[in-house]
Amino acid sequence: MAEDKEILDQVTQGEYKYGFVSDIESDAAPMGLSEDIVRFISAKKNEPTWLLDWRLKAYRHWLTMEEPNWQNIHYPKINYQDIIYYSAPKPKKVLNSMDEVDPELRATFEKLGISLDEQKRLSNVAVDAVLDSVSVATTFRAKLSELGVIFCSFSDAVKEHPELIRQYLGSVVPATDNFFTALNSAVFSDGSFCYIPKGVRCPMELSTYFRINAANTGQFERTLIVAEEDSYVSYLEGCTAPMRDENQLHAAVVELIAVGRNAQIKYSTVQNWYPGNKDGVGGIFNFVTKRGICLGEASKISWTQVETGSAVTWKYPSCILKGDHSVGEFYSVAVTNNYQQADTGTKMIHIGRNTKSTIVSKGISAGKSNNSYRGLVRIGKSAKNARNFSQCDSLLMGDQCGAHTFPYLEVSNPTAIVEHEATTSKIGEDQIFYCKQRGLSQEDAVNLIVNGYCKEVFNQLPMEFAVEAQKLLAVSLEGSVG
Amino acid sequence: MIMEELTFENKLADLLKFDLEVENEYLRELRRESLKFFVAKGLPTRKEEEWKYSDTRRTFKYIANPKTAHYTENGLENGVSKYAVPGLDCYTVVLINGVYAASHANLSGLPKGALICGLDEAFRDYSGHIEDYYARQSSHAENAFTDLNTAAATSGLFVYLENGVKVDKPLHIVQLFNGNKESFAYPRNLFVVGDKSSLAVVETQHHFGASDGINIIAISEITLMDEASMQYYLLEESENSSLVQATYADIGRNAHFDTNTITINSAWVRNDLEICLNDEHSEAHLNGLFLATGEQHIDNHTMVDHRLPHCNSNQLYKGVLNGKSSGVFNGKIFVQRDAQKTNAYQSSKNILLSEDAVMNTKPQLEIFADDVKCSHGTTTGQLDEEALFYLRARGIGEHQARVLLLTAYAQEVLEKIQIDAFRTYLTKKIEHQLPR
Repeated sequence: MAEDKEILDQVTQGEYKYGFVSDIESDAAPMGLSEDIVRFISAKKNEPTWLLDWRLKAYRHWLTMEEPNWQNIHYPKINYQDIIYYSAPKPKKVLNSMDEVDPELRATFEKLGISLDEQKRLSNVAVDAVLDSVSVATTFRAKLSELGVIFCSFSDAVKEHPELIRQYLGSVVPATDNFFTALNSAVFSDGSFCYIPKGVRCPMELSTYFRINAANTGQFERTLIVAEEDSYVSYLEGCTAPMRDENQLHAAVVELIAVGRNAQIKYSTVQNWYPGNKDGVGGIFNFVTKRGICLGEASKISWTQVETGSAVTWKYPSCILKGDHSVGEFYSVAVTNNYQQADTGTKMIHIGRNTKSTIVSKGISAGKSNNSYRGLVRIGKSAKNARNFSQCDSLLMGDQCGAHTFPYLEVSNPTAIVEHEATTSKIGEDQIFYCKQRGLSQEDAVNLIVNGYCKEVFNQLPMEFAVEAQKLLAVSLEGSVG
Repeated sequence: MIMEELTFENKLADLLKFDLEVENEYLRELRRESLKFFVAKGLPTRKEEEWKYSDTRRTFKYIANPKTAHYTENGLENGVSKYAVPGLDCYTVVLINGVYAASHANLSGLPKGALICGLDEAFRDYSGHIEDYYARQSSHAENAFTDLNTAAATSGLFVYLENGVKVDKPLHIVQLFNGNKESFAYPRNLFVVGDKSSLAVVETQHHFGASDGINIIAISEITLMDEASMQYYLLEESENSSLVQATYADIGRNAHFDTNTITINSAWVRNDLEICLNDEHSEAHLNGLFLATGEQHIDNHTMVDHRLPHCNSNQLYKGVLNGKSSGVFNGKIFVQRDAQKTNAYQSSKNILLSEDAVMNTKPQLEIFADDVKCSHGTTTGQLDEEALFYLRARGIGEHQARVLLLTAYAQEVLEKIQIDAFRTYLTKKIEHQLPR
């Protein structure tokens, strides 16, 4: 037991690897939120009137809403007037090559291990790097545009493809959907837009690295991905944030639309934001609304997430399966340590016939953390022959943590088959013993078992992400024994 | 502000107001308090998480002139023997609209140390025995129906077993109701089972006389002391009725509680089971089966709280839904920080037979201890086409094959009933009830 404790302590005291602050002058809005701020953001970005109106409508609706309180997480009350809603690194000018990027900014990226030029030269990943709120550099854009793929920052998309934005913005996640989407819709600063035309299989993984930088700035991103008939895209989202003492709010919105027949969108997230220190001070509030809709016949949306960071994670990447034969998938690993809290899961809304969904959720709780799975599977009246399989497992490490499961299954069609199963367990002493007997150290044994436990989800990640995810997991939990 | 018409809650409270003067001080205070809580809280709405799928408003609130169903013998001229379970050798007690009917009880030969009587009698003659247990588990924080029953129940059933009393035959509780859609009955049972004592209970519900549906707000409170054991089988089949049944059980060291809730006829049912495994090595088995058709709504809520190490719990709930019926299963397992070495299992399986039937399930786990084995599973689907084909290929008609499969499906729950005569009785009833 003493040994376990020691190892647990070691992990607990591990410093956040990405805790540094880059000193880039920001061009920020005054603190607080009002109609003027919404107008300020819109004006700053030279937005058309329809978008300003859309923002204002969302803002006015937000004023009438109350912050939800049903979740199984606790956090200090957020003062929405105490947040800077816009901060852009300046000067913002059109960059022709990587050399023009602020050297300090590039150094920041290098510390994160995603140096742009490195990426550009060696890997096949196009990175739309988002530092705080404005897209700083976009690579591989030209290459993609040859195929007709649009991959750009949200503000560029508003300028260059207003018709697409106008058609799809808010079509899956309406501005009025919930408290945080309304807030996001009113003040969103930037994000990514991605459009895959008919018949195109996107040749590379598209990727955005989010990074919250200036203190007290909320991150309000919007991601919109539209896939036409017979197209395919795999999108990666990776996140790290520097160390901060005050809690920071991140309320992003992600909308995926698989429009045509056989359209496929794969969305992978590795989230490693600052989780707060070992006493639970600081850390990011990650309140994100992610939703995808399968409109086309036999279209598919797949969410994969590895959540290791954030003080509070509260999100439910969801699929609306409207097209007949459409498929929704959700694979998740959520790790909480120290005082971290996670309330995450998914919603699978079956509307079309012969729709299928799979949910695999693996929760790992250590330290004094709480980890909840909350998921909804709804089989509508019209969803003939719908099929769902859900599995949510929890692994507990230490006796101070908690694991919770709240699955909702609503079935209104007799031809549907819905299955849900969940288990909660710890790493067995017999398993550890087995590994140790074969010459593995205690730590390696735990790593092996935890990685095996998460394998099903990691297998869904693109290669480079899978490696990063395994490393993250090792850092988060190295040596913890339940 | 304009004075609105009296709320439903106030109307009910008015009915009870004149009734609150009882001799026993503890009970008097308790009932007054509970009534206050009930009115303040009001009936739960669908906005409350625990009532998300069951609309109490539609069921109760539109009753314009609620009234209390009182004790009556009209329609019971031929006695109560026809409510007996065939072939069941048992002690029998009868409650009419929730009031203990001493004249109909058959308790001859009851072992020494076993006390079975009406709650009013118990408060008068055995107040020392009862006050430590009555309404100690059903707390105000939970739901308004519990408060309503506590405020309204006048004379339910009291069963008290001293240490080491093994009741040799099952106790059959016959709950008889006579009323209409506007009347409310408040049955209440209190079981106290002493150290090393054991008891088996069968409870059935019936209508008599000119009765057409009734609203039943019922509570059973159970305390099992160390090494006690109890089987509690409840058959809910009062036609056209709305039923809210809460069962609270407090289980001691090495004690064993086994319950089975079978719901077939009632129109609108909400069952709440709250089981606390309060000491080491205690064990609870919760089983349930419901058959719903027409516009029936059947909601089973369970909560098992593991408080100390080495406790086991097991749940199996099955449902068959036909017509426009709707079903709910909401199971919760709590494993508290100290409850290491817990084994908890929960399973909910449901079959939808028609286009319009709906099943909502929500099996929850909340776990704060690490050395535990907890799992739950839930499925919703239809009869296995292949099994059906297999039977038909062997010359069994489709209808017959369906009945056979459904009977087998139900059997998994029924076979857990350890009283042979009652199990046979139920099996027949269920076969008869299965959708044709």
